[in-house]
Order: sequence, then C-alpha cells, then structure tokens
Amino acid sequence: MSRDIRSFFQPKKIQKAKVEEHDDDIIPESPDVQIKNKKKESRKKRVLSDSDEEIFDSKKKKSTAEPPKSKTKTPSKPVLKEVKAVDIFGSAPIKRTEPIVKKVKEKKKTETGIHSDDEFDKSLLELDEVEELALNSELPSTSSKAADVPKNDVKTKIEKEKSPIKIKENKPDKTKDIKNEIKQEKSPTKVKDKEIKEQDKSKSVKFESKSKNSSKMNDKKRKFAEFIENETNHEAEKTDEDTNVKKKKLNDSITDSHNIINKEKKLKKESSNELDDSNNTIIDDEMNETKHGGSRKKMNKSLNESVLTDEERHERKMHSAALYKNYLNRSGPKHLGAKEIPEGAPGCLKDCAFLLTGVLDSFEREEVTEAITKYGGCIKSGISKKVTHVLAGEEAGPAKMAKAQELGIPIINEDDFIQMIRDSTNKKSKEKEMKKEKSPSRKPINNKKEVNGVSKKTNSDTTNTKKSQEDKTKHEKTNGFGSKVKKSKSPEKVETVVKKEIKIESEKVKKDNLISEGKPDSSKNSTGPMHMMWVDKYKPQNLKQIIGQHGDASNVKKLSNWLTKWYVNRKAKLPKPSPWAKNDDGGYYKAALLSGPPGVGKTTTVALVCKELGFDMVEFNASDTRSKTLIKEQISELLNTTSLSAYSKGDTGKQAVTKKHVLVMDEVDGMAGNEDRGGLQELISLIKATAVPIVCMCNDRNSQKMRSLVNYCYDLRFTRPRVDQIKSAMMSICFKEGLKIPPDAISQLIVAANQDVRQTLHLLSMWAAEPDTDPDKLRKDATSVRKDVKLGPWEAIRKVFSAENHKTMSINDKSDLFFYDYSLAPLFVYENYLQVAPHCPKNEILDRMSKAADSISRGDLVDARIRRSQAWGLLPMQAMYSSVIPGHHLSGHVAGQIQFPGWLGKNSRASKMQRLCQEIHAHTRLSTSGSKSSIFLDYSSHLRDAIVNPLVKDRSDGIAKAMEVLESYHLLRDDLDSLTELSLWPGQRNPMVLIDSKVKAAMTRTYNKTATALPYAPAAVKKGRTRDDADEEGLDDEPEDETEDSDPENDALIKKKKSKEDKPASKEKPSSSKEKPSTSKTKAGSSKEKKKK
Amino acid sequence: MSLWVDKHRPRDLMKLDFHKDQAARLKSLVQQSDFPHLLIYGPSGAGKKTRIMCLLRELYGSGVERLRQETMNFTTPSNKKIEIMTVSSNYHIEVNPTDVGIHDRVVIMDLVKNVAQTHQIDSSGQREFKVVILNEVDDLTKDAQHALRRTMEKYVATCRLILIANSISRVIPAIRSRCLTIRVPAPTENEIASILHLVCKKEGLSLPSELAMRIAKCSDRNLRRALLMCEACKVQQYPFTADQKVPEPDWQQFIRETASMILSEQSPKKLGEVRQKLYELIIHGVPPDMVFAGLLKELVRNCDMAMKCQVASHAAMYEHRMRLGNKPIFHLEAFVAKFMAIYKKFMEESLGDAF
Repeated sequence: MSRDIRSFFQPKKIQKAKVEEHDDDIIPESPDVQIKNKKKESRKKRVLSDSDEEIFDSKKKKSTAEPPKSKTKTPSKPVLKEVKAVDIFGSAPIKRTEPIVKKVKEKKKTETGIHSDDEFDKSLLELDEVEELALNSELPSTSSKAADVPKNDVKTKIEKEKSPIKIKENKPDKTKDIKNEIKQEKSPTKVKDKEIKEQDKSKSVKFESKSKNSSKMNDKKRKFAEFIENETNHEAEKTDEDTNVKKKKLNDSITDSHNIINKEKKLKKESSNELDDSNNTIIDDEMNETKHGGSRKKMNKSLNESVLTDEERHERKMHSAALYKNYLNRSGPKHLGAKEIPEGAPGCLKDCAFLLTGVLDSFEREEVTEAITKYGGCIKSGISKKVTHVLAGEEAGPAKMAKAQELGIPIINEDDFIQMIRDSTNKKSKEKEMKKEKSPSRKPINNKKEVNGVSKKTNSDTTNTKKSQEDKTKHEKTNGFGSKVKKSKSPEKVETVVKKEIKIESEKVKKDNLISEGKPDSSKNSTGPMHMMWVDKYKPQNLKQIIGQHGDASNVKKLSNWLTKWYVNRKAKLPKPSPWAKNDDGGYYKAALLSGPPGVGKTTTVALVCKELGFDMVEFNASDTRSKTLIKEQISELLNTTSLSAYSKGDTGKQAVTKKHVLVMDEVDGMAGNEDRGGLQELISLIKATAVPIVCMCNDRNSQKMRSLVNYCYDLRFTRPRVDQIKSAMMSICFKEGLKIPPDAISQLIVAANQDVRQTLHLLSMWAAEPDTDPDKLRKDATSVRKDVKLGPWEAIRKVFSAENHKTMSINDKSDLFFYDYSLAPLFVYENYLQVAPHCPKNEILDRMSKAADSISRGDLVDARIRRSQAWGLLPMQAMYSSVIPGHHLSGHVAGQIQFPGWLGKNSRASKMQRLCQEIHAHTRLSTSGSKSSIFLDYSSHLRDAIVNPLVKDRSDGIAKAMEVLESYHLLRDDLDSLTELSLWPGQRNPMVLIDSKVKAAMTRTYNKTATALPYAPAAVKKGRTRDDADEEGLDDEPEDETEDSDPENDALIKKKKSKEDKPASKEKPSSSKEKPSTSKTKAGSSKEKKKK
Repeated sequence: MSLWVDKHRPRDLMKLDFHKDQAARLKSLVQQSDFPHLLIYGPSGAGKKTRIMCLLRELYGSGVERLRQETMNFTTPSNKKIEIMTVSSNYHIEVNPTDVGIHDRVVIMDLVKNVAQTHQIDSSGQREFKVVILNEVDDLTKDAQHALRRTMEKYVATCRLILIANSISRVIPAIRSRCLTIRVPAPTENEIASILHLVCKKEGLSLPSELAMRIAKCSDRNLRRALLMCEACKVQQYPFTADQKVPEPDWQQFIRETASMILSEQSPKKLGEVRQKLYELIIHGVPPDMVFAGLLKELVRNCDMAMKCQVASHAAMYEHRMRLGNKPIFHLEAFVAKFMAIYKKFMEESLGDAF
C-alpha cells in the first residue's frame, strides 16, 4: 500500500521536477507553435518565471500526448480543490480530456516501471480471465490517442489564431465561447466518466471518453477549417503575406514582432511581480476552467485510490499483461515500402539520438536505423536524457512513451521523421539566404529565431502530420500560415519561449559552425606539424592508446610482464612449459616472438613497452643485413655492452649507465635469401646465450622459415582489432582533423582495409586530401577499396556462376574473375560447371550445359593458340570463352562443393602411362613393329596375358614360359608391372593378384638370376623408374625374400654377378619350399640352353 | 616364345601375304640404283613396318636384321638435355621423334644431319646411302616438318628418308611432294582370314573359317589385332569352335559402355560420370580421335537420319577443335554435352508425339 502511494506520488513530483529541469533543453526541439494563446499571454505577463513557462512548454511538447495538465494540476491541486471546485467546473471541457490521458500515461509508466518480469508472468497467468477486458480497453487507447492528437492541435491552433487578432482580454472570452460549445458536447462524457470512475480508474473508461472527445474534435475540425478560411483572408490583409513567398515577409514580420517584443519585455520587467500574481490567478482560473469536473473528481479519487491499491494493483497487472501479449503478437509494418526515406542533407540528423519503439507503418526498423546512421544520428536502445527524439510507431512501448514524456522528449512518428530529413535540405538553403539578408547586431538573433521558427514549423508539421494525408496538404498550408501569424502577431508569447530557444539554438549553431569550420582548421593544423603522415602523427604515445590492446590478457600486458620479470626469471630456472599450457607468462623463454598481420601495432607495442619499462631498444629490421657473421660479431657484442644513452639526456651517475637493452629483431620472416644467410640459426644460438631479452617479430609464425625459431620464443599472437575498436579511434582522429566522414563509411573502410589500422589511416588521410567529401562518394570509395582484395580461385569460381553477383557486375568485372589466376581458372570452370544449378527452366539446363561446354572447348582453342605462339594478347578472349560465357549461360549458383580441377591429376596420370608405354615400346622395339599407341591398344593386354597366364595356370611350372616371353620381348621384370598397369581398366581385376605370391617371388628370383643380355642399357631406362615401384615389388614378395629385394639387386649388373655365384642358391635351399629347387634348376637349365643357342 | 604376330612376321618382300603387286613394284624400285625418299602411309596394322623391313633386307641383305638399340643425346637451344632411343643397324637408323614431344625438331635436325654427313664405311658392293626411318611423321610438329624439308634435299646424296605415317593429311605438302608416297591399305577381311588360317597351320592348329571371319571382322581390318585376338582365342579355348567368343579389346568395350551411359540418361550428373570414363580412356592412351569415332558409332545407332547427320557434324567439329586445342577432354565432353542436349530434345519430342 505504502509503496503504491509512493509510486503514485513520487513519480509525479519527480516528473514535475524533471520536466522543469529539462524544459530548457527541450524547448528548442519542441516548436512552440501550438502554444495556446491564452496561456502564453498570461505567461508572458508573468514572463520570467521560468517554471510556468516550462510547464507550458512541456504542455506544448506533449501536445500530442497532452501531458501538461498533470503538472498544472499537481501544483494547483490544493488550491483547486479548496477554492474553485464548482465554478470552473464546466468551462474548460477540452482540457479535461487531456488530464485524463496524462494520468493514464503516468499510471502506465509507474506500472511498467514497478513490475518486474515475475510480475509479468503472474499477470500472464491472470491474463486469461481479464484478457478481453484489457484488450478492449487497450486497443481503443492507441487509436483514440492518435485521433486525439491532431484534434488537440487543431484546437490550440484555433486559439492561437484567434488570439493574435484580439486583445488579450478578449481572448479568454473567445476561448470561453469555444469551450462552451465544446462543453455542451461534453456533458455526456462527464456523466460517463463518473460512472466508470466508480469502478476504478480503469483505462477503458478514459478511452471511451477520449473517443467521445475525438468525435467532438471532428466537429471542431470542421469548424476550424471554416475558421481558417476566414482567418486566411483576414491575415492576408494584415500581413500581406503570400503563403508561397514566405521568407521575405517572414523577415519583415519578425522584425516587427521583435520590436513589439522588446517593448513588451520592458513593460514586463517593470511590472513583472504584479503581473505575475495576476497572471497566476488568471492561469489558475484558466486551469480550473480547462479542467472539467470529471478530471477534478478523478484527482480526488486518485487520492482515495492510493489507499485502495489492491484492486489497482491487480488492474495494473492485467494491463501490463495485456501489453506484453500485444508485444508478442505484434505484426510487421503495415504498409511496407509505401514511403521512401528521402534524400536529406548529409549529417542532417547530427546530434540527434533516436529511440525506436513500436512498429512503424511503412518501414522496417533496419531501414530507419540505416537512414539515421547515414545522416549522422545515433540510435539508443533505452530511453535516457541523451535521447532527443522518440520515433514511435504503432503499439509503441508504453513505458518508453511515458518516460519520454517524463523527460520531455518529443515523440515523433515516421512521417515526422521523414519530414525532418526532408526539411534539413530546405533548412540549409533557407539559412544561407537568411544570412545574406541580415547583418546588424540584433539581427543575428532574429536570424536564429527565424531558423528556429522554421525548425518549429517543421516540428509543428511533424506533430501535425499524424493527421491523415488528405488533411496534410490543407494542414501544411494552415500550419505554415499559422506559424507566420504567430510570429508576426503574437510576438510576446513567442518571444519568451523563443528566447530560450535562441540560446540553445545559438549554441547549436556555434557547434555547427565549429564543425563546418573544422576544415579550415585542419588545414591550419596540417601546416603546423609540417606534413607528418597521419600514421606518425597519431602514433600511440602510451600503452593505453594502442588499439585493441587493453585488458589483462592483452599482448601488451603479457609483453611488459615478461620483460619486467625477465631478469628474475633468468635466475629462477624454470621448466619448459608444455606447448598447450594456458596463461603461460613465458618465464622460461629468453625471447618473445610477436606474430600477426601487418598494421596491427606489433612494432608500436614493443617500442612503447620498452619506453615504459625503461629498456633501450636495439632494433634490427629487414633493412639491415642480418647475416650469420653480422649477428655473431656485431649484435652479440652490442648486447654485452652498457648503454650510455642516458648521458645524452643529461643524467649522470649510476642511473645513467644501464644494461637494460632489448634486442628487437623486426620482420624476422624476412631473414632469408643470400643476404641474411644463416641469420636465423645464428639468432637462435644468440637467444640461447643471450643476456638481454630479445623480441622477434614476424607476420606468419606458421611459415616454414619460422619453424625453428618458434621453439625458442614466448609466443605472442596479435590478432586484428575489431572494427568498432578501430572505428572509435579513427573517428576521433577524423574529428581532430576536422574531417567529416559518416561513421558507416569509416567502418566500411576498415573492413575494406582488412582491419589494418595503418592502412585505414592512410586511406583516411587520402580522403582528407580530397576537398570533396560527399558521403555517398566516400561510401563508394570504401567499397571500391575492398575490390582490390585478392580472391582465391574458390571464391572466384563461385562468383563466376552466381546469378546474384552477375546483377552488379559488368563484363569487365566478370572477366576479372578469370584473371585472378588465368592458368587455373579455365580448369576450375571446367571442373565445376556441371555442379552449377542454373536458374532457368528445367528443360533448358542441358542445353545451357552444352553451350557452356562448347564455350569451354572454344576457350581451349584460344589457350592452345596462346601457348603455342605466345600470343598472350588473346588472354581476354580466353577469359570470355573459358569463364564469362559459361558463367553467363549457367548463371545460377554452385550447388555442391567447389572441386579442385581433377584435370591436373588425370593429366599427370596420363603422362605417367605414356611414359610407361614409351618404355615398353622402346624395350620391345626390336621384336615388334607398330607404334606406341599399338602398344596401348593391342599389345599391352595380350603381352600381359602371355606372361601371366602360364603363372596362374601352371604355377611355378609356368615360370619358364613367362620368362621366355619376357626374354623374347626384351622386357624387364618391372615392365610386367607397367604392363598390368597399362592394361588394367577400372572395374577389372588385377590378374597379378591371381598369381600365387610364392610363384611370384620365385619368378622374381629366377628373373634376377637369369640376367639376359638386353639390347639396351637397362640403367638408362631405369632412370625414370620411381622408387615406389621397387617398394611395391618388395611387398608382393615373400617376407623371406625381402632382404634380397631391398638390396640393390634390381640392378641388372649386380644380378649378373649373383647369378654366377652359387652362394645365393645354397642360401635359398633351406628356406624355400620344395618347388624352388626345381624351378631354379629348370631356370638354370633353360638359361644354359639359351646360351648354347 | 614371341606372340604369333611377331613370330610369323614375313621377312622377305616376296613372302608378303597381301598387296603382292605393290611388293613387286617395291622390289623393282630397289633394284634400280636410284632410290627416292619414301613416305609410306596406311592405317595401323596394315603392315607398313613389315614392308619396310622387307625392303631394307632387299636393299642391304640380312645385315639389316642385326639390330641394336642406342640412346642418343641432344641439347635443345634452351639447353635442355634430351635423350632418345634409336634402333639401328649398320645400314639404317630408326627413330621415333615424337618421343621427345615438342623438341622433335632438334632431334630431326641433329640426327638426320649426323647420319647424313657420314658416308658409308664400306661403300663397295653396298648402297651409297644410309636409310633413316622416321616413325609417326604425321605427329611431328610443324616446326619439325619444316626442318625436315631442307635436310631432305641437302643430304639426298648420302641418305634416304623413309617416313611412316598413318595419314598424310597432317604431313605438310612440301614433304609430301619430296617423297614417293606409297599407301599401304589395310588388308581385307578375307585376306586377314586367310592369313589367320596360314598362321594356325604353321602353329599346327585348325581354325574354323567362321571363327576366322569373325575375328577378321572384329579386328577392324587390323592384322596385328586379328592375330593377337586369334592367339587370345586359342589361349581361351582350344580346340576352336565356330561360335566361340572373340575377346574384344578392353578399350572398345569401355567406349561402348560409355556410349550406353550417355544414351541411358541425359543429365548434368550423368555427364559428370561420363567425364570420368572419358578421363579413363585418355589415361589408358586411347587416342581421343578413336574415342570420338567409337562414341559416334555407338551413339548414332538409335538416331534417325536427320539426327545422325547433326550428331556426326558435331562430332567432326569437336574433333577438329580437339586437334587444334590442348586438352582433348574439353572437346570430348563438349561433344557429349551437345549430344545429350540434342538427344534429350529428340526423345522428348518423340515421347510427346507418342502421347
């Protein structure tokens, strides 16, 4: 209970306070066009009492939501109650609706604020029961609200327009007239209100009343329209304004109004106190009038209710549950794409912070977000003081809305938003014109005023735009008109409000100026520190400035820890850590290896760490020769000396002489080639013996060159900083340089530069050099930088066939894909074109495939021509045939994984077969006719069968026969294997498998023994033979023979010797089976016979 | 024990089994003192080489049959060392310049010059010239062929060239006009059958004439293949029966399989499978033009006349491209893809008519 009371009362007070505090801020943004004349006047009389103004301002701001009453009520509550209850009861019916709404909103606010998620859940449970009721109450609320807003505006306008014409004193009368009219209509609502209030403050009631109001409002609108017509005539006489040609006249009218304002001001100052009092009373009266009875009663009730909170609480739960449910079920934009976000001036939303809530009518949230960032605004996720606009759509979050109101943040809808952008361009042009015309001392203010006026206008427009679009046109006319009228005719009111706005606006303008002047500033700056490269100019000066190296686990921290502990660790003998140990501080290592891509700050880190820890840096980089001798003699000597560098800085004494060096070997992966021969090895030995810490740096620590060094170094890997890390640094640099670059362009640039800080800086400085900084162009530039990134053949091939990419690519871009690797690209295309799923009717696919194949075959012709006659000028043509045309025919997507060209493997296999075949051809040349291809086609299988069949059929008895064939064709043992390889087709069984392994071994043995005279030198032929073949043979043989085979017996010359000797035969006897002696005998016999022949 | 095809090779011009009139003419040619450069061409297995060896024997006597193999070394202008194996006797040298690929020009220039510049040692009672036999002349690069034409004229006094080719269409006319061109046609099927009988008789086997004819038919009028098949038949099953299966070369079978794959389904996926088959054929050294021919023969069987023409013209076009290009597989596949497209359309139309 108590809590509820607090929640009820405190927020209100806080609201008041807050509103008052923030009113100043808010005033500039909320155009005061809709200020009610009556009130303004009264206020002006009171004039300088800020609080009152604020109240009014806030009211105006919230004119859409009608907030002000609550404030006015709360302060005046006691007074109202006690003094004027019944008198004023009927007089101000319109405003009575407003307070109700306000309260509702407050309630919502508190509810959502108080309720935690748990409560939500509970309420969800309760939901079922009360759902319908709540929904009913809720749905009308949004719609009726929306309807209300414009009507209220209308009302206010009516009043405004009336007020200027008539004297202040008359005004109340007029308004009273209107009110009276309205009163009559309202009386039923009052009754209803009462009835419903008995049930509690249920919102549904309020909404009903609202809807009634809205119906009234419609009537009023009509009246208003008529009124406006009259007014316009009226006004035209007075101000001689043409609605179309506004500016000049505006100036005139403003100057007029200004004079009046000045006069008025003086008057006010003199009689401020007196007037204040009187005004206050007047205001009070008015307030009372505006409050209708219902609202008053409500106030009473609210007091009572603070005691009766149980029901209320339940009510709230129900409400929030309903809201939550709505949120879950909410739909997408209703008229997606119905409107377009207009082109605005660059940076037109600068300094604006938006909060998006609800579902917009015709945009996706992303679109709006993009647009806002594009124009320099930013998006907040939660509501806070920093938020300048709340962009609300349908079913906007009530909590957010309420808080926005509380903070006095203007709530706009998407039309307003569009208008904001659209107006930005107009605004600028107007501003320029204005400046030209005005010069005198006071006029600057006027200028600003006008600017404000314009901005007000826009805002008023925006608030008004909630009216249906048909109304809009009319409305804009009237609005423009009205605002002018206000300026010219109700100068006093405007004045006070405007005054404050002016201050703020002027600040803004100043800012703008600053920013716009940034350019010249930067040019001045650049002339100052004469043409330093940005990379050097903005080099980090201390460790904290290194991008992406904060935190305890950062490389900077690790490195400095390692360095500080270095000497200590040398004394404590540490074991070598396991390579997988985490959080190793590198105590074991005497050297550190910093590795990472270029431009992430390795060298900078080392330099800064050394500086910070007071180490002297002895640096050697790729520009120094770092050969073995040099490292040995010079560097190692260097490290054993003491440094006197401190003397040069003026230090004397002990501190000046230091032994704290660090040897920094930068770019160690460049230590290769003749210049630095042996450098790495020497570096390693240096590391082993070093008395000072050594820091090495390289780009790729996995490269072959680094293999050995890595084992001796503490491994510190630098990764690319994240885009936003770089971005923030770049933004601040841009600011310092006065460079206006949209943030999204910067992030694009960073991505394009592959998150290389140095590269990004260079690119930025290039942009800075260009006078023309059109953000769109910058964006384009940023993406074009990316183009230069090299694609691998895999990505390229995907692009070749991707229909999506084709849309944006010119024919040159497409042929560029070929040139990423012109020797491989045709093969890749050929290998993968069958996997493409072209986006075309199914029956066309084959046709397209064949077209693509045809083009590929043409491409091969061009390729042949290029290679044959070195006509490299034909490459673009090949690009067309081999890549672009197939890509065009098969434009779709690659359905499978991209394959590496199989052609290469097949080709090497084919050439191996060719070689084998050629060998056999050469060997059999004497006894066969026929060319190589006849070996392939005819001989190979028959020859193989002639050799193998006897072995399979007759087993070891067939060996002799097989040997005969081998001999007559002058074949080597190895040729048998090549023959089988040549003649073996996929799906066939290798006939060699059928041969018993013992038989095979026996045959090999006999072959080795019976070395026949070959007509050719076998060694020469053997040259081409690979080691693998010998190994295979060994595997085929029996294990016991392996020893023999592994010996260099295969060499024919050695075999001869062996066969002459008897020893091998005797050796074999015990081990081999019974067959063997016989075979050996037969072989011996046969060989002898041959010799005889 | 050699295979029959080598064992029963005739060694004398007069013992040749077919084209006997041509043999007689050659003999009379040799008996005259003048002996021009020869360009002997004909399909594989028609007996070109056999005929040449007979001719040489006629020319120089049995000394030419004492052959030896030597490797010769050459250095290309780009300082690359190349080796080539030659078969030679005292009277002639035989070389296969295409073994060294694109460097064949060097081989021809150096080798022919070397041989031509040295005179016969023993000129008495012998011919005054040596003979250089170049194999596979039609596969020589154009450069090599041009290098040849000058040497042919320059050293005509001391050496005669015998060029062997399968077809003279790829021999440049300049060379053709400098040679006496002799065509050795493939033997007719009857001739093959009679030779098979002869061989079997020599081997002491009896060969049914039906089987002989079938083998002859199967062999594509290639005598070598016929003999090898006949021997394979004997290994497979002896005594012969008239209806025994004649083993077909594996590659022909493979081409047939490929063709039936193409006919079975027309889709990119199938084309991918066919590609693997084509690769296999190329790896096994089947000349791609034979693949073209084999595929075409199989594929057009199911086509009507108009389509046959279309397919044949496409095959011819792609084969031509293959000759001009570098990578035969590209053109083979392009042909298959084209055929698939045509065939599928044809099938769909005919099916559409059916319904």
